[in-house]
Amino acid sequence: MKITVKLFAFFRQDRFKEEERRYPDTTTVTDVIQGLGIAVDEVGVTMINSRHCALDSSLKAGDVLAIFPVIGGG
Amino acid sequence: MSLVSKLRKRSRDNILFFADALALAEECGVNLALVEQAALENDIWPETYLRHRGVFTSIEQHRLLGSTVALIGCGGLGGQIFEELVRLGVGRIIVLDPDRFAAHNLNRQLLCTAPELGLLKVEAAVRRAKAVNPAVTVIPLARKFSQNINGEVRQAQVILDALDSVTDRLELADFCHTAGIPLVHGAVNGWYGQIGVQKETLLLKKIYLHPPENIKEKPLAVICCTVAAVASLQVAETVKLLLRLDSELTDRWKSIDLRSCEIEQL
Repeated sequence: MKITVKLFAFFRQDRFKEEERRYPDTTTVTDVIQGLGIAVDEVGVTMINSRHCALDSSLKAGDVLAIFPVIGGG
Repeated sequence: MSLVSKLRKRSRDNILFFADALALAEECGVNLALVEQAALENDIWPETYLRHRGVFTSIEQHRLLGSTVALIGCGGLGGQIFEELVRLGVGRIIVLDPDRFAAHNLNRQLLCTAPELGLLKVEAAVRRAKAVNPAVTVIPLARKFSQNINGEVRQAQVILDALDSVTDRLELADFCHTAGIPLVHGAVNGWYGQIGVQKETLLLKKIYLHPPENIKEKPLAVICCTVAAVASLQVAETVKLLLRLDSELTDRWKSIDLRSCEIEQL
C-alpha cells in the first residue's frame, strides 16, 4: 500500500520533507519510523491524517503519516 | 492636589512624558506603575507605551500593567521573553531559575553579558527591568519551579514555559492544568521549535508522546534566531491571554522550522 510520510524538524536532515512510499499491508507507525532509521525514543508526536496517534497504530492505504521529533530545549 | 489633577497638569496632548512620570512618582511618593496606571485610566498615554497606541487601547495597556505572569526559566527563551514582557509593560513578572550565567549562554541568552558571567539569571532579570522599564515589578526566585508549587507562581494569570527539560515541562503542565492557569509552551532545538497554548486540555501530554523516562532528547544545539522567534510567539500568545483576545492556538500547537521557513499548525 502507498503511505505519504511527512517528516519535521531535524528528521528531515539527510531524509526528505514528504514522500509517498510503499509498505506491506500490516505496517504500523513504529515500522515506518524504524524503517527510516529514526530511534523511536526521539519521536515526540506522530499523526495520521492530522490526528495524533499511538506508535502501534496500524496504517491503511492512502494515509498521511506525520512524524515530529522531541524538542525540549530552552 | 490629587494625582489625577497633577497628571492632567503635567501631560501634554494626552501624553505623559517619561521624565514627568518619574517626577510625579517621586513627588507623590508612589511607584511609577501607579502613576502610569492612573494616566491610562484617564486616557493619558505614558510616553514609554506611546507606540502601543493604536495596537492596544488605553484600557488594554492598563490591563497589561495590572497583570502578573510567571516565567519558568530565564535562559534562552526566558531571557528573550522577559525582555519583551518588560517592554510591553506587563506589570508584575515572577521569574524562576536556579542557575547562574556561563560563557556558553552568550550565544543566545539575552540577559547574559560577558562582564556578568557567574551572576544569577534572575538577578540579571531584575537589573534589566530596572534599566529598561522601571515601572515593572520583578519577583526573582532563584529556585526550581518544583520548589515553588505552593508559592508565588500561583498568583500568575499566565505561566510561560521556558524550561529546558521535558520532565520539568510535563510537571509544569500538570501543575497548570490542576491549578487552572493557562500555560504558554515553547521549546527549541537547532533551527526548529514549537509553541502551544494549554488551557483546558493537557496539551503537553500530546506533544510529548512517551513518558519522560522513555524520551531521548537530542543534545541541545541552538541558535539565537530560533530562540527569539519562538519566544516572541510565546509573548504574543501571552498578551492575547492577558487581554482576553481570541487565539487559534488555544489548546493547539505549532511546529516551527526556520531552516525551511515553515510554520505548521497542528
